[in-house]
Amino acid sequence: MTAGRFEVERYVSPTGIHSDTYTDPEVFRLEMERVFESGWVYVGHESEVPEKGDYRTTFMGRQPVIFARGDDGEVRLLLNRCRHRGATVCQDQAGNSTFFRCHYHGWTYKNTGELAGVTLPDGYAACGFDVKTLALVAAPRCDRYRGFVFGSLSPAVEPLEEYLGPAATYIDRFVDSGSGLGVRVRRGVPHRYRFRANWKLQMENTVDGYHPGFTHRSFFDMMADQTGKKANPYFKRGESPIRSKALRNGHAALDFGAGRSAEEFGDTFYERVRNAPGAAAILEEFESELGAEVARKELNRVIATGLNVAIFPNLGLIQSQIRVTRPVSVDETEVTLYPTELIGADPRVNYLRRRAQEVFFGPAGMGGPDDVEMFRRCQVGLAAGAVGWTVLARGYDTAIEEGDGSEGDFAAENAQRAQYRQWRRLMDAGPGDGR
Amino acid sequence: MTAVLTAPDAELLAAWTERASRLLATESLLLDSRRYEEWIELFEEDALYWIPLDGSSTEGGESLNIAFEGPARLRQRVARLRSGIAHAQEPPSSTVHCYSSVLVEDLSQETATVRSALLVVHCRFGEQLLVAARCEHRLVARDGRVRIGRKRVDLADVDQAQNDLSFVL
Ligand code: FES
Ligand SMILES: [Fe+2]
Repeated sequence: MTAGRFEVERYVSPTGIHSDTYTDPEVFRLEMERVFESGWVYVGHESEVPEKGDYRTTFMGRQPVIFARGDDGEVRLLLNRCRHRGATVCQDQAGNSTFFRCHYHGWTYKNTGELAGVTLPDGYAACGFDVKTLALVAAPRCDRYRGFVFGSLSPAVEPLEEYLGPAATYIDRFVDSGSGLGVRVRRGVPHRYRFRANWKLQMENTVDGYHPGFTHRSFFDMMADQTGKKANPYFKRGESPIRSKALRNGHAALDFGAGRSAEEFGDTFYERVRNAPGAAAILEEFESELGAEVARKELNRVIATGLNVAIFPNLGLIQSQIRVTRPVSVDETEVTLYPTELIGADPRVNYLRRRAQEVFFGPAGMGGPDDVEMFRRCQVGLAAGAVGWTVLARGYDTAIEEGDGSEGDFAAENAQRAQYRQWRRLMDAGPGDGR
Repeated sequence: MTAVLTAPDAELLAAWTERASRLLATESLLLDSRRYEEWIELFEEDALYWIPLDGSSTEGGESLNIAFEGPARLRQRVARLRSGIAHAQEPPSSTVHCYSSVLVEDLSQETATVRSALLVVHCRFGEQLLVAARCEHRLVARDGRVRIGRKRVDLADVDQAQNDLSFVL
């Protein structure tokens, strides 16, 4: 990459991505500045920090952050860096604390970020240096939508609602899909995996309807063996009810039409969970309580949503999980899958939601690891920079895509093109390359 | 705490120590040579193969797990691994399962709990990846055979991001 303006058109064309976009450390550095450390990023769900003093540590881009509810009840994104000489003040992944104390020289902060105490303060007073106002720095923007907390390290971003735009209705559907009382993140350790590949491969994949018939064929074959029904719902063109929706600002969704689901293709969540310990008994109970047909239809609806939503750049809502992608370096990524449960639902339903996540996702799932392997293969393959551009052209239609939203068949790549339009907008934002 | 100090019955302890060491060695051999179908035969029909995310969980259902499955699901897992299109394991990793620090506890004539340290070396694309865990086997002796009633694998770094674990630990 040469000095001067970042030439976005060298990286993203309307129908393809240049391999440097995935492999160049300089591109990654700029992405961190312009996408993850300037724009809105998803940080966590309010239900993870329900009580005063609750916190979870995370990252916004490369920057360590404490997602904390202060004693005043407010949720903040505090940069996890002591104002003295920079040590992290919070070491745990999650917990509850009134104070964050830096154990290097003992500076102590309230859980609102305010500086509560400095060791031997007279040494500063003597030289006229005012340390009292050195609170933990909070992300200048922190806002939420239906419990989903987003932050930005730039004060200049548009309001969150404007940023989410029409994608907000997909968050609504995720939240309202089951009991109607909303979702909360299940406490405890989530699924978390890492891979040696660029973060954008996960971003693209979250709304990729083109791949399941190939990447996950072994899973669908396994289900077909179990049920006696061929379950390969996403493969034949024109036969899928799924539509690929590109929304404003790089958000996207794979969306079953109203009232339709993969059930018509023999892929049901109640069959996916059936062989998990305890699940068959629960299914039988529901069937005898509600009648088989009602029970199955209802279970298929509440075990997981039939939605894949990708909120640019790092949030995914898939089935019952909140998926968060964390770029670590140009070829290293960590992904966390937080299980959600339906508030107020029959505990047996939430039991089945966890089983549905386990069977497919996580480090030992029978679906997710195959996606991860594809990311690894892409990263290795993209090192063949001599080839240059990828093809991201399926279903390309300028007339439709010039606008802010588009819709294509289940395997259209309009969703990914929308992600890269947003990427271009953000990467093109500043003159010069960095500092 | 330790079975060694409080052994009520030295003979029973000796018998279970022998069974445990045979079972762990057999398991290790079957897994490392990918004789998965024979490995599943080591389990009781109502057995549990369990990799928890929540170390304090005692039965697994109330938490999310990395793996939580009985023989029916294990058979599916193995059939999928054999399919040639379980991409994360294509080609299959080669593994070495090392059990050590074996303690045999909670003895009865029919059952015992075996606690061990497990190190799985998982070779992939020229790298040797390590999976470090504490392991607990609940064993059942019946009809002259010893079977696994429950195998629980607590990863030492369970709260950290994991590499592929879609093979069998
Ligand atoms: S670095 Fe925190 S008190 Fe010195
Ligand atoms: Fe996938």
